[in-house]
Amino acid sequence: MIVEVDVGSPTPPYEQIRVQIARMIDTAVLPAGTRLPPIRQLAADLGVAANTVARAYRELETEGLVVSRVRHGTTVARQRPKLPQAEVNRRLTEAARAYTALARQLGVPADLAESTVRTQLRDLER
Amino acid sequence: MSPGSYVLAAAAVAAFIGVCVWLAASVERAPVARTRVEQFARRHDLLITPANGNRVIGYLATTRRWRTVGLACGLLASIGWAVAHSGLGVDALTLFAGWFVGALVAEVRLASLTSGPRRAALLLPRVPAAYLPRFAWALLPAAALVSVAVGAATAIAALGGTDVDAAALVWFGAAITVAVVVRVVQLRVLRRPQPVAEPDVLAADDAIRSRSLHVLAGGGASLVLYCVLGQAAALATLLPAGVLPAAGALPVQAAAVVGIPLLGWLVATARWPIRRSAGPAGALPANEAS
Repeated sequence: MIVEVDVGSPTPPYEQIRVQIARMIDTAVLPAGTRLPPIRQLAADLGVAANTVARAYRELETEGLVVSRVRHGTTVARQRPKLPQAEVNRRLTEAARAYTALARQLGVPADLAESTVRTQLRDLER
Repeated sequence: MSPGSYVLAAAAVAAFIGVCVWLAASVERAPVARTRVEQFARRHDLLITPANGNRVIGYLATTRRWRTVGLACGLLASIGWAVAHSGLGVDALTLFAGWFVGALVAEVRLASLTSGPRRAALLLPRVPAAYLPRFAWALLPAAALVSVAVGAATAIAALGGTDVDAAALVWFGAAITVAVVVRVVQLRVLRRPQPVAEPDVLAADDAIRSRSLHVLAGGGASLVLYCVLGQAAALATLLPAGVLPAAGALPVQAAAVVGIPLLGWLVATARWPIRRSAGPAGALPANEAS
């Protein structure tokens, strides 16, 4: 459960933190109910401003992935919000397009690209 | 006393202070003994490795330096106070207070782990329960609560029209100040940055944090309880004879000489095995691999 920040990246630090935590929640690396570190602790450990972590937590809360309560800190939400099907389809298509472009760039045949996805999905279900 | 006697007494005090300062400087310059490092490792079940050894030695050297300076300042303050009141003696409480102030300064000055080229952090909240027993964490607020209770009893007794000894207010103020300052420093120790590093380095950092919190809890609670004894002594003068033991009574002396120091020492030196395993250097535990 490590989160990293690349200060040289064009992606803002808060977005890097948000994406990584969201991914860990999506893949159940951070199960529901897990308490995240306090804003100041994570900011000090990463060497970023407290507002950077605060913004990442705020955006995760807006997406319904975490819940923040006074004196209880920030925890991974127990109930995930249901996205509209259109939004789900849009995100899947976007991810698929990016994956296909990468496969083409690497010169990978279509059946290998497909079997790699199937393997990952099988591993997730285990 | 003749002028010559004053000169002799001043020379004796100066010589005594000089010897003590020289001793303190010698202790400060001496290398950290292997036995101290081994004792530290035993208290935390910590494996000392080439990667974390220097960090542990640095911690032991820094705390020893500032505690020695604090003890020396306490000694000077104690002698100065006695001389200013036409006496000559050393007060144990002032010595202890000086040593503890040195310990506080050491904790404020201790450096945290530095980030390398990789800025990474573990998504694990650092909670006091990971570093010391719950009762040790609660000891300081409990002692402060006793001080508040004695302070309230003093205020009620004073409402009856009796003049409150100013010492009661001074001891109460000192107790609460010590409790607040120590708690602030404890929280600073807890929140000291801890970027991702090799397991053995992280284990040493956790052990250092734990030892700091133990010393602050034991020493801080002892100092607050000494202030409470002072409050109780002032309160005893307001109450009818026999309601509270006088300052020279056996229970009070036993608490001051044995009970409070023993409690503080037991908490400060308690064993606390570190949960994070040191592991071989260069390997991250599987659940922390990125």
